[in-house]
Amino acid sequence: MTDINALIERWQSGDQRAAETLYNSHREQTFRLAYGILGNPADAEEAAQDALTYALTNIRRYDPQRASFSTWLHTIAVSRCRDRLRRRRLPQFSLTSWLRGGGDAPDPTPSQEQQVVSAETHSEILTAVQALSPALREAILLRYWAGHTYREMAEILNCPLPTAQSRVRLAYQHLRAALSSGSLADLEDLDFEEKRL
Amino acid sequence: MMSYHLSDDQLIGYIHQTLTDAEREEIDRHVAGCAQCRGMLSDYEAMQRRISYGLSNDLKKVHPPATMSFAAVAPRLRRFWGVTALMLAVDRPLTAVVTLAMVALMVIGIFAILTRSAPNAGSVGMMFRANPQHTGIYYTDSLPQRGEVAWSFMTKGSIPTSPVLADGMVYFGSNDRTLYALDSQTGQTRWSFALPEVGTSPAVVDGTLYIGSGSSLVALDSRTGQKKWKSAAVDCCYMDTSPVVVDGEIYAKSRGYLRALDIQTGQEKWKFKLNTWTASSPAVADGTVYFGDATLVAVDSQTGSLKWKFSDGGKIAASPSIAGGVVYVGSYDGIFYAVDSQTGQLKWKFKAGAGGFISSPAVADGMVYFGNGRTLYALDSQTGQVLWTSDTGSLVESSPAVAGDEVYVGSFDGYLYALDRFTGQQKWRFKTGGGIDSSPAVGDGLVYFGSMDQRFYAVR
Repeated sequence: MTDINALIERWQSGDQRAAETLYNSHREQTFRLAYGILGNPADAEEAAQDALTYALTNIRRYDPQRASFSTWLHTIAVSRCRDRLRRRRLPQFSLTSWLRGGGDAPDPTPSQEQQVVSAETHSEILTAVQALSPALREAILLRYWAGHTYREMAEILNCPLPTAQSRVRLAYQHLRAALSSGSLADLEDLDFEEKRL
Repeated sequence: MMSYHLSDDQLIGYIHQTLTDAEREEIDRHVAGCAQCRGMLSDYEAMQRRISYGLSNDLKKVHPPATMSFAAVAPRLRRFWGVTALMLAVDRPLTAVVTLAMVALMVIGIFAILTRSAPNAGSVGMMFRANPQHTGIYYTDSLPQRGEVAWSFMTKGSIPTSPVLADGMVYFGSNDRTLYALDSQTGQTRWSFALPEVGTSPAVVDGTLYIGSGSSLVALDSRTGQKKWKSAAVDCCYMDTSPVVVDGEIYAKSRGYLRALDIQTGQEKWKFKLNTWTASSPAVADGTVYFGDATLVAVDSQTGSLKWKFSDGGKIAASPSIAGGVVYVGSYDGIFYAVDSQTGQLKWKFKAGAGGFISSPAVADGMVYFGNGRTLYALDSQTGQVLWTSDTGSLVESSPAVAGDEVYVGSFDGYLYALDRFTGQQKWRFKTGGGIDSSPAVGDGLVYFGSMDQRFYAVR
């Protein structure tokens, strides 16, 4: 595991290779968070790329005493995703129907995106998460997927600590209702070994 | 045989670790003796694992496209980094002047590029208590740590009003009947504007500054001080409370009415009759305007129709703050109230006991801060339990400001206090020549406030 703080210091003093390593080590994670919130690879790419660029060009603003680099980066990424959701003008593209291979997604380059997620990917959980309101979606992703503490979440979401907690509880409640009513995949079917945050 | 079973809320709170120790222990005890709830709990935990692992597995199959690469952002980094590297390279004094001039030009150019591409630069409105919800939270990259003056500015009147920071400027009114706009870093005057009275804070949104003075509300260009419009004159007076601007509308209290005005023209959209006059400024959250009158009142922000009136408490002179669906406000009866923002039902109350409230609360991370008597209080925002208190030498009518891990407040003893907001421990204090009624604002490593000694301060 590379020492993130050492990389940050090197980039702060001008080492471009450190910036590249920092970028590459956070590229997938940032894209996945944006994808989870926005539900669409094109938007996720733009939001994630914006967030990483901002973080790298504003590296002097980052204070390791205040927050971990991930928390800081996720704060920026969530804010970029919110900007995109606010300004989204194109017709809403349904992840659900696209994942199930149906519908005509208004997508200019479907073949390229097919490479991003294979068409047979059946993601019952991600589909249910997409059906939540954006605030609950952010909360469940930050807590369950990224493993943030509630205090970090309050920082990232720019909300009081109890609000972060109640959003996670509410998201769980919705997901529980949605997933219980559908066909229940047995827990044993899930690949427990793959869990890594 | 168990007499009750755990609720959905208890189970969900338990597995998400959001309960108090006492609540948790109660559930542990119950589950130990109740097979049914034990089953429910393990069912809830299984669902939690299923969501967690499922999300992890699903997102693992998602990969960024090849176009998202370091190569794509490298040119922007190099452009940015070229400048900084040049600054580091300056080591010879003779070339330094020339180099610094070049650097300055490049910085200006790149700053222009970056701000153009940053979508939300300048669009965030600033007003009394930092935002429409009046939470008093300021976001800044660095905190004022030394408690020494960065710059100060002399006026010809005392300064009981609270400053507003926006776009590199700080705005405040003095009792010399002038609204000042200063460069927030240097304290240089950018412009000033004479008004009949300046008793409140302006709101600055998208390059326009709004302030009540006398019987009108005026809109000025926030960069130049040029007048844009002046509203029709009303009974009296707009000068006692600070306007709040949200979604194209201004909400402001005169002596007789709460009014909603159009942000572009100053035209009145609706008005709501008040029962009494107090200095409580309106706050806005989720389509509702909250303000103090004979009691706490909630009005629909679109129509001006009454949503609810709080049934308890006395007259309210302090301004409410809204966070997490709760309205927090102190009353003239010396009691601090937390009220459900939707229903107007009491959630908890706290008797401070040293007279009526003037100081408005700040709310952050489950804590609420306010002044009463000579004391600054920090309470748990959920339960109203006192977390800590800190005494000053005189009355605290200034409203606290929160930034990072600190809380700032002024006192009539002439000091501006910086405290650790989790423990109440004093970090530093700064002495002025008069009482501090002004509520501080925090930004870019400085805390700004006015004093009765007629001086305006920026402290680092």
